[in-house]
Amino acid sequence: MKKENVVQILIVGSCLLIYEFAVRAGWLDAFTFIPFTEMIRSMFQCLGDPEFFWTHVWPTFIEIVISFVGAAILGVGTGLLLWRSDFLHYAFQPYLLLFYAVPFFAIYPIFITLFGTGPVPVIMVGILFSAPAVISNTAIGFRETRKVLIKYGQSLNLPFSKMLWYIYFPSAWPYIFSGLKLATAYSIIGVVATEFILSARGIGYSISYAYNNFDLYSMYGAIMLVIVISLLSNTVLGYIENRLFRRHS
Amino acid sequence: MPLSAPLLVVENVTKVYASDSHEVVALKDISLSVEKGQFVSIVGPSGCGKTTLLEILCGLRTPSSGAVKIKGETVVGPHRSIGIVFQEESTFPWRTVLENVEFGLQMRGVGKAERREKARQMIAMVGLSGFEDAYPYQLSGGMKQRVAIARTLVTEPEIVVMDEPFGALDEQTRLILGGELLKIVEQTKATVVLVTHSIQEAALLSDLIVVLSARPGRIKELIRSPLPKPRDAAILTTSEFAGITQRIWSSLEEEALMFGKVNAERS
Repeated sequence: MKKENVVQILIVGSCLLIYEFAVRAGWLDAFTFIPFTEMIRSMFQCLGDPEFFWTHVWPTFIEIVISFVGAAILGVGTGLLLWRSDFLHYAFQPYLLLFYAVPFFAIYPIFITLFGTGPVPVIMVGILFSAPAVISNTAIGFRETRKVLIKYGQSLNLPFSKMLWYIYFPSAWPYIFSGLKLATAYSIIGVVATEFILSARGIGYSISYAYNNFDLYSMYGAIMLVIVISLLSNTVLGYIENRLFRRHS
Repeated sequence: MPLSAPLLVVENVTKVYASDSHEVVALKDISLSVEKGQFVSIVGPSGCGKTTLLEILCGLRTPSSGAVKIKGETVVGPHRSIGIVFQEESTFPWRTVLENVEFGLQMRGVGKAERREKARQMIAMVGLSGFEDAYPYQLSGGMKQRVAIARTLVTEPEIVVMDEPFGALDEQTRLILGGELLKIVEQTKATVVLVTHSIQEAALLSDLIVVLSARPGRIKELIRSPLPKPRDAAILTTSEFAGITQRIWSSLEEEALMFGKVNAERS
């Protein structure tokens, strides 16, 4: 293990220890905080309870996956269009740039009227919220392909399909991948946050339900679940990225 | 003197770049013929349209008037018998040296075993044996240019066109690589058209040196090199070598001065 990893673990570890001690010693308000070890215990209880797992954890997980895959397909496809057409690129650029500046979830009443409640609007919001990151990164990635590589391909008389597959895609891939990483985070945020407001199941719903019923123990358990899902997906993506780009970074 | 028809003929090529407000004549009435196996260098003051001429030769740009012919056939697009080595770093960063070198053959549908074999031979020829599995970021600038040269030569083009291939390298590396290039070219019997701004490089490598004038680029002088072949770096210290660099320099000097004056008047 590297020195910096040791330091990283020490920082997290000591923060958690201090927090644990502060709660147990009664320094922190017991109506708001529970010990970290209790959060973990609650999380495993949630996972261990088949009913809770199948009504709340599993649907949320599937919604996140569908949202991510949808955003990836929609994002790369639209990104390709914006790359090929200067007109579309300049027409849509301002919207893409401004997208994340707008408080997306502030317009949730509109989602309810438009999509109703249930898993479909949750997934729709997840996709809508994460696709723009993939779109702009894909478009930028293709546009940043070095001219000399394009000229080299042209000098070999390559048809467009080969240019795309052998030159443009590999060249844009690091950008697309950053877009996909953002899309994972945004899918989790989009799905969980939408479950807060327009769903009757899922982890997001459980958090808000437990909060409204002063059930701190369950609330923190569900929050831990969301954190674990984010950490896991990040680790998996980080691993893939390392395998793919270690070779030519 | 050669009896066969020249391999590459440039006929009255003119290139005009037009924008909304004005026209710029980049090349004016360039005519040139290159024999098979010849090493031709194009030198000229900066901005004289050297790269434009090269891109027209390669079929990457079309001339405003005039034509380029290879073996009597007018060039309309990138031609299979022309290979290009670019000035900038142009290797694929996501491919190993071997994968970079075999790319052209792969695109032509050559089988894996055959193209790997050819690529390995070419990698050895440019002196990169042992680096087949390295990625470009692990190589120095000179080594990357060797990869680019190998990648172009492996497709066995009849004409190799090079746009200041050693331009980004230091003088020492440039002359060493130039000498090696000459050996490789003699082995593969390729015809070479090289754009350079190094007079020494042009004098060391060429049979024929084309001096272009300041913009609009015209052929100012064709200098045939009296230096014997094969050559190596030892020739750099001879008086014949000094004579030819002197000739190129004096031809270029007038142009460079004139170009400087025009720029000074403009500003």
